[in-house]
Amino acid sequence: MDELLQQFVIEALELTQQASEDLLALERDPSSRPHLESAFRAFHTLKGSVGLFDLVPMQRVLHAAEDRLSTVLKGPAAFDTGAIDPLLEILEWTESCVRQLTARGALDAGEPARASALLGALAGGPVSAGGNPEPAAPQAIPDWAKSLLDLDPSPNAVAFRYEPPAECFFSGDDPVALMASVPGIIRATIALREPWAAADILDPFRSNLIFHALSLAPQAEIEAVFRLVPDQVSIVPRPQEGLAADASIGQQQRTLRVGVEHIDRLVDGIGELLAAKNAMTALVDEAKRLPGGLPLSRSISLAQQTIDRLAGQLQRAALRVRMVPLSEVMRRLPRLVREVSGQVGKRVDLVVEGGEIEADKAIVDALYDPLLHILRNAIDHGVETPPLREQAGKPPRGTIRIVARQLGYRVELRIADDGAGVDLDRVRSIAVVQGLIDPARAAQLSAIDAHELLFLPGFSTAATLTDVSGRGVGMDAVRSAVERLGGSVDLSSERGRGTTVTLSLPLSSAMTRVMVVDAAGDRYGLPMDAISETTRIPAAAISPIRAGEAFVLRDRTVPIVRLADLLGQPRPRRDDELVLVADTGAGAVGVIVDAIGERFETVLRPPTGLMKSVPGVSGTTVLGNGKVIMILNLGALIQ
Amino acid sequence: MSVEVTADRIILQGRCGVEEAEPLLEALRQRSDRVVVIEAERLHTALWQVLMALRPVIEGRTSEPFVIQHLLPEVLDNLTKGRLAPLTGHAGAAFAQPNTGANQ
Repeated sequence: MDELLQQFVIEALELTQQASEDLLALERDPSSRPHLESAFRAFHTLKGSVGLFDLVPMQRVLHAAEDRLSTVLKGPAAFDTGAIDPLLEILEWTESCVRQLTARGALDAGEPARASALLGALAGGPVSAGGNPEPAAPQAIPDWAKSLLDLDPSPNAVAFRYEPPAECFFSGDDPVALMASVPGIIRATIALREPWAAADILDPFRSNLIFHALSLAPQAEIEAVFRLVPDQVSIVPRPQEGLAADASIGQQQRTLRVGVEHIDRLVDGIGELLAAKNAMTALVDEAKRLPGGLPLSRSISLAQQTIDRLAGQLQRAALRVRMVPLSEVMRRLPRLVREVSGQVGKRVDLVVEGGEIEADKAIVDALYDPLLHILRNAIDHGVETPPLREQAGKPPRGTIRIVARQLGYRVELRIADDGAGVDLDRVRSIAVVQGLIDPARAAQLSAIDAHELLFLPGFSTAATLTDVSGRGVGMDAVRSAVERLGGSVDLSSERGRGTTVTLSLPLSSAMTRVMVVDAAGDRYGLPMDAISETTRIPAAAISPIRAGEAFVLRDRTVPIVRLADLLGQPRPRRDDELVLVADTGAGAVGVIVDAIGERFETVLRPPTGLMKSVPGVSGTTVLGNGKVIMILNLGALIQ
Repeated sequence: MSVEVTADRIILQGRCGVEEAEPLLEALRQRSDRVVVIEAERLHTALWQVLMALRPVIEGRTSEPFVIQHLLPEVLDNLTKGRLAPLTGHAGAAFAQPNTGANQ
C-alpha cells in the first residue's frame, strides 16, 4: 500500500477510536469540556488528513461533524446528546471507508449517497445509512513478488527476496550457500546491489548480490532457512482467494507506532554494545599470551563471533525501523510545484523517480527544506515563461525531474530542470556588485567555480524580490542544511538546456563507518564515506607543486596532504606512501597516512567540552582495546 | 590449499571459504586469462562474486543444483551465451567454456 495512505489508515483508526471514546464520555457528562475539545480535535485532524487524498464524501461529512462540535465549543450551550448517535454513525462509516481504502485504495461507488444520508442525519433528519458489507479485495503485494508469481501458475508458489547486507561476510554469512539450502526453488534471479567495481579496486569481502526466487516449498520451511537473518528476507506467498482481506486486517493490528526517541535510545544502546564488543578482541589476544591460554582464547573468540553476529543483526533490525522511503518527502512536492509555478505564471511538470529508496527518518525529514529551496529556485530562475520557451523551441511546459539513486551507503538526488541554465556572466557581475568577489578574480573563474558563487552566503540573482525566491536565503542555506546531514551539494548547468542540482546524503545518520589510520605515531578514525579509495604510490610519483604536492591518479591531478603535517607533527618522507583518496567537497584530495587499520561501524559521539572547539574533530569512538580515538573531519582539517 | 595457482590455471578444490576470495582475485588480477578450474565441493559467495565480476574462463564441475540452475547462468552469461559445451561427468553437472581468448 501507498506509504502515505498506510500512515493515514493507522492514524485514522486511532482518531476514530479517540473520538468515539470522547463522544461516549460526553453522553455520560454533556458538560465535560476536555472531552468536547478532544472530540473536536480528533474530527478536525481526521478532516485534515482526509484532505490529503481525493476523498470528497469523507471530507464533506467530517467537515460537517467538525462544524457541529465547534459550534458547541464556541457557544454557551451544553452538548446536545441527540447529536451523539449521528456522530458515532459518522465515525463507524469513516472506519468502514478506511477499510475500503486499505483493501482497494478507493471508496465504494455507493459512498457519496451514504455521505449525504449521514449529513442529513447530523442536521436532524432520519438516520438511514445501512452498513455495507465490505467485499474482500486482493491484498496488495509488492511488485517484485508479483512479477515472480506471474512466472509460474502453481497455486502454492512462494516468492521471496533475500538481500544480504554488504558486510554480511563478516558475520559469517554465505548467501549462496543459504540460497542453495532453500527447498523447492523453481526460479531464481540474481541482481547486484551495485555494479561490479573494476578488478583493481574490487573489494572481494563486500557482498553484492540480491536474490529473488520462487519456491514451491511451504513458507515455514523457507522461513526456517532464513531464521538467523529474518530482517534480510521478505517472503510473499501467492495470495489465497477469500483469505486476503482477513490477512490484511490482521497485518494492520500488528503495526505498532513508537516514538522516534524510543528507537533512538535503542539504536544508541546497540551502538554502545557494538563498541563494547570490540573490547573482546583484546581479550582474545590477552588469553593467547597466557601459558596454556590457547583453548581459552579460542572459546572467547567463538563467543565473540556469536555476539558479533547477534549484535549486527540487532543493529540492522533497529536501524531498519528508522528507515523510511524517500517518497515520504517527495510526495509533498508536486502540490508545492503546482502552487509555486502558478504564482510566477509558469507551467511546470514534476517527475519523481526512486521514491522507494529508504533512508534514515531524520534524513528524509530534513530533506524537505533543501528540496523546497531547490525547486523554488528551479521554477523561479530556471524554467522560462511559456513564450520564451516556445521561442527557444521547447515545449511550453517545463519539466523538473527528481531522480533518487542509491549508491552504496549513500543516496544521490538529482534535481534537474530543462530551463535556461545559469547565466554565468550575470552571476559573476552580480557577485562583484554585491562585493562577494573582486572583479579580477571573477573574470578568471572557470565555469565550475562560477557555479560555486551561487552558494556564497547572501548571493541572490533576483532583480526584484519575488514571493517565491530571491530573499537571499538560497543555495547557501541548502548547502549548510545538507552538510549538517553529512551530505554534499553540487550544481551544474548548461546554457539553454537546464540546471542540475545533485545532493549526496548518507542513508543512515545513526551509524558511521570508520577507518582507523596511523599518523604521526597515533591512531585516528576517518569516516569511510569520505574515502573513495586507498592506494600505494612511489615517492617519485609525487611532484611538488608550489608549496604543495600532487600526484596523478587515472589522468587526474590530485593534490596531496600529509595527515601528520596537518596534525602539526611532520614526519620524514618514505620510499612509497600510502594514500587515501578522499572527497572533501572541494574535489579529490590524497591524504598520506602511515598505516591503515581496522574498519568498523560505530555511533559517532559528538565532541564535548574543550574538544568542541578543536577544528577538524567530528567526534570520538572507542576501539577494540578500549582506547578512545578522535574521528577527524578531513574537509575541515584541510581548510 | 584450496586455491592452487599455476601459470595459466587457478584450481579451486575442497571447501573454499570466504578468505580464499583474495588469492583468487589476486591471481586473476595478475593474469586475467588464467582459466579457473572448479573442482570444489563448495565455493563461498565471495568467490562466486569474484568470478561474476571478472568473468574469467571457467571449467569444472559441481553438484549443487542451485548453483547449476541459477547461479552459473549469471557467472557465465554475456561472454559465452550459446557457447556452453557441457562435459559429461559423474559428480553432478559439469561445465566448460571454450577458451577462445575472447574474454577480457
